[in-house]
Amino acid sequence: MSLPQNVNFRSTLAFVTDGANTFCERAVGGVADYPTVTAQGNNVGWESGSGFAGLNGNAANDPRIAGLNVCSVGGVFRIDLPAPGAYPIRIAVGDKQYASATSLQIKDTTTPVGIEITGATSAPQRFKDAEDTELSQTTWPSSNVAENLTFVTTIARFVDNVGGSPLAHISVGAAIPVTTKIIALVVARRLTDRPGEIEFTIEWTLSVRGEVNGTVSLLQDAAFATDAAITAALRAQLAAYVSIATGQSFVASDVRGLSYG
Amino acid sequence: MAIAVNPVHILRMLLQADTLLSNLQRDMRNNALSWKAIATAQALTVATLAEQMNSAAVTYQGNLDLITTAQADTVNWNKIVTMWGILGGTGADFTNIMNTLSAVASQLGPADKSTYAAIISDCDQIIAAVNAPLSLWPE
Repeated sequence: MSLPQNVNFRSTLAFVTDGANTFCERAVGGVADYPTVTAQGNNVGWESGSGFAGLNGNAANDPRIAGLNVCSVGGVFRIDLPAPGAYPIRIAVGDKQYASATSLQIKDTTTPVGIEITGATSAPQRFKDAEDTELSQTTWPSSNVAENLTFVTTIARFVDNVGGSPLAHISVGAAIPVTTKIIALVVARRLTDRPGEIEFTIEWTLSVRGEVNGTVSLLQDAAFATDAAITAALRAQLAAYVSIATGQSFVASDVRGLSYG
Repeated sequence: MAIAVNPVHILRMLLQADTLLSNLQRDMRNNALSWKAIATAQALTVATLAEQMNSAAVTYQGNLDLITTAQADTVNWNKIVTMWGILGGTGADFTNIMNTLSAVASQLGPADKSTYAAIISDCDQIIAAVNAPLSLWPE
C-alpha cells in the first residue's frame, strides 16, 4: 500500500484532470464497489449503503472539489490503511450547486475517531474541511486543514449516517512518523544525610506516539540548587517531551502523579 | 447463542467472492492502463511508480488470499460451490479466474521497473493477460 491516497468523487473520469496519487470514485452502476484496488495499491471503495450516485460539478473548481458522490440513504466509504498509526486526513463535503446538509463521521473500523462533519453548508460552492470549517471553492484548495487521526486498526471508514451528504474529496496522507518516546518521570531526592548528592528514581513512564517537540537536555547541576528548582526543572523537561506535533499536548502541571519526593 | 451458518451467509460469501474477483480483474487491467499512461507521460518518477506498482502487487495478492482462505474452509466453501452450481457454475470457475490473476500478481512484484520502458512493458503484459470483465456499464 502506498500513500498518499487521494480520492476525488464525481461521475466522469475525464471531467477534470486529477492530481497525482488520486483515485476517481465514480460510484459506477450505483453499487458498492469495495474492494477496489487503486493504482496506488490501496483497497478503497463504497463498502455499504445504497443509492450511490456520482455527479460532476464544476470543472472550473479545483479537481478535488469538482464533483461529488452522494448516497441517498447513507453509506460507508472505506480506505484500508497500510498499518495502524497516525495519518493526516483531508476532506471536502459540499456541492457546487446547492447549500447542502452534511453528515460525515470518520471511524477506526467501528470506533469514531473524533471528527464529524455536521450541519449544512450555507450556500452553493461551499465545502467543509476536516475540521468542519466551511470554505468557498476558491479558499478550500489552499486553506483546508488536515486532521491528524490515529487509527489502531487498518480500516478507515467515512460514514454518512444520514444520507444525502455530498462527499467531494478524501485524502489520506503518508503516515506521520512515529517516534515512540519513553517519558520517565524522575523523582529526585536530595539526601539529607549526604549533602550535595541527589538520588533519582523512575516513578513511571509514558509512551508517546507521534513527533515529539523539543529535545532532551541534561539537567545542569545548577538546577539542583533547591528543591523548588529541581521540581521546576523536571516539570519543564516533561512539558518539553509531551508537547506533541499532532496537536495533542498537555503541560506537566496537568499530569497526575507528578511528584517530587 | 451463535447463529448457525445457513444459506443466507453462504450467499453473502458467494456475492463477496464474485465482487472481489470481478473487481480485481477490472482493477488489474485499469491500473495497468493508468500506470502505462503515467509512464508514457513520465508524470511520476520511476521510483514512485515502481513503489505504487509494488504496493498494488501486495494488495492484489492479499485480496486473492482472502479467496484462498475461504477455500480452505472446506465445509463452507463446498456449500458456496453447491450454491454456485445451482446457478450453472462449478468450483473451477473461481480457480480459472484466480489462476490468471495470481500469475499477474506474483509476477508484478519482481518485474523489472527500473525504467519507464520497462514499466510500459510490464503494463503491456498485464493488459494482454487480463481483459476487462463483462459489465453492464463502462468501468
